[in-house]
Amino acid sequence: MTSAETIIQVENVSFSYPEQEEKAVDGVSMAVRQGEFLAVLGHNGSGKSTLAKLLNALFLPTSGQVRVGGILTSQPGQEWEVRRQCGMVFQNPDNQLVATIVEEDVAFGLENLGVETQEIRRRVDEALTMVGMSKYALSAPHMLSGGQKQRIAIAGVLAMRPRVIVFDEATAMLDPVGRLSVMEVVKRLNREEGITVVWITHFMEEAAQADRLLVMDAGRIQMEGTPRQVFTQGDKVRALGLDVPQMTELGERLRKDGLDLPQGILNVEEMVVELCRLKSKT
Amino acid sequence: MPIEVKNLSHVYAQGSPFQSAAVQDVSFTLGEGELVGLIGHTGSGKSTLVQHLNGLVKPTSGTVLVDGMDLWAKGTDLRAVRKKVGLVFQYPEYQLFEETVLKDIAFGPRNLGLSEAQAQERAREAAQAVNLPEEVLERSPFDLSGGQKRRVAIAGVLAMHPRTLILDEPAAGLDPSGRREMLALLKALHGRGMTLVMVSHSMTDVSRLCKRVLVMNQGRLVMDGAPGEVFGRAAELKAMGLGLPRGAELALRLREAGFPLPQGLWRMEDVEQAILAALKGGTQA
Repeated sequence: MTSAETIIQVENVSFSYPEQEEKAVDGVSMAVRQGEFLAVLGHNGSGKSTLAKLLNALFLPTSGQVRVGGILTSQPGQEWEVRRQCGMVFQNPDNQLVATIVEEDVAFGLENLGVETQEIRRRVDEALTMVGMSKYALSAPHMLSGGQKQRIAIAGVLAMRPRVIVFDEATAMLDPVGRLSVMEVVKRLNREEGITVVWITHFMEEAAQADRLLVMDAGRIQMEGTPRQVFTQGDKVRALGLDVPQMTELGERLRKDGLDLPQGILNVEEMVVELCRLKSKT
Repeated sequence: MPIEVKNLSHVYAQGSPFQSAAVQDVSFTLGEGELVGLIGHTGSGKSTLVQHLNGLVKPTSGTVLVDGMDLWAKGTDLRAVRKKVGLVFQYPEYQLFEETVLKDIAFGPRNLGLSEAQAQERAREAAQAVNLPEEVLERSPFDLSGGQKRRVAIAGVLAMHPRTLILDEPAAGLDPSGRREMLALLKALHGRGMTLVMVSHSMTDVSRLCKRVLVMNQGRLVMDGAPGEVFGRAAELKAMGLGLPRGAELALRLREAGFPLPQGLWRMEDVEQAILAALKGGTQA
């Protein structure tokens, strides 16, 4: 991989919280490639959220280095540029919105940077369009659903024109409809706007939609690969306190029952296609 | 019958421009020892409904009976009702506040007027019921993991010795093993004879655990039946913005693709067997 393709480079990074002996992140090296959708999985306490906060200078490594767009996150005075390039959306929709009107909330970051009014207007409208929330521009955030609030939080990040967005369990507190709507928006931003996505989750079926997966445990990366490569190792995934998608599990069982199915079926669509193929052969 | 709800309606902000009917003319009965799942889209009225079941909110019209006692009749002691029906809110770990886990769990029983020793006894017993290890009891609840905190909060309600326990989204936000442990815990409590109502967005969790499913939509109770019956009404559920358990969804798609599967399948094991039977049937044909 050449450095031109790499947008975030993590080199042998460790991080410890004050007064805690165990390292929350322990000697992690990894790279995020420009334009990819990378999911990070791990049970609670595995270090995945700590890793996320190291990616945009909310935390600085105890040892090792993190570079975002070539900039060292620990370089004094560079944290704002790092955060502009690498935005972050958190778990709780109620903790991220600051203004009383949606469009003012989206404009908040830009106003703090002293961006010119015309330009703010343009970027806010554009960001709200990208998350499908234009018609709520003048609404009060507290009247919105959880999924809508998360989309506003995403718009606030988008207005800063980041290259990467890190989502730290951004759907954990949403209902199924909200979860789906946020996931759809993020996939579209990745596909159509070229925004690089780091998606931290413990929903296996969300992770199954990523280009690449990292599985963390005890502060280290334990598995890495495409969703299919990772989820075909069901026993290992389960030993790390996680699950495989339900269709992958059913696929495993049907193979044991003697059906000629490929490994690593990830979703209902794939399962239906494969079973129809078997049926047509009988 | 532990709980009977008759023609219950609840209107928020009645008489103001923001008036909205959260619950409309809902009736159902909860039998002793039942394990019921209550599902519905956000805003369907399910949380408002369950807050009526131990008298936290007063119906605009209709009645709620607990062990035959009308909660809002003159002379009803609501404190006695709340001892019988425990309510665990969403993200209950945000309500922990005491210095130690044991004190937090003992808070309820202490308020019942029990002695410190009795309250602690109940707290230990409740901690055991939710599988909290002995060594965490003297620690601050804020030092625990998310899943453990939630179990502390549930223990706090169990220490009141309710016979019916209502949990609003008990597995929300937990990781897969936390979720599995939570479902196992609810199953165990049910096994000890408690009546349980689990409010959930997760069709999969409800389908794994419950023998009866209630579905709320726009303030009304629109379905009440066995999981197979409810999940068989896929088109209606989807129109309400609800998903299907993965097993039911697969069975539906396969039937649409011409697989001869029976109606009303939702358990993954049953779907697996039906697929095998259908493919074998194909060979014979």
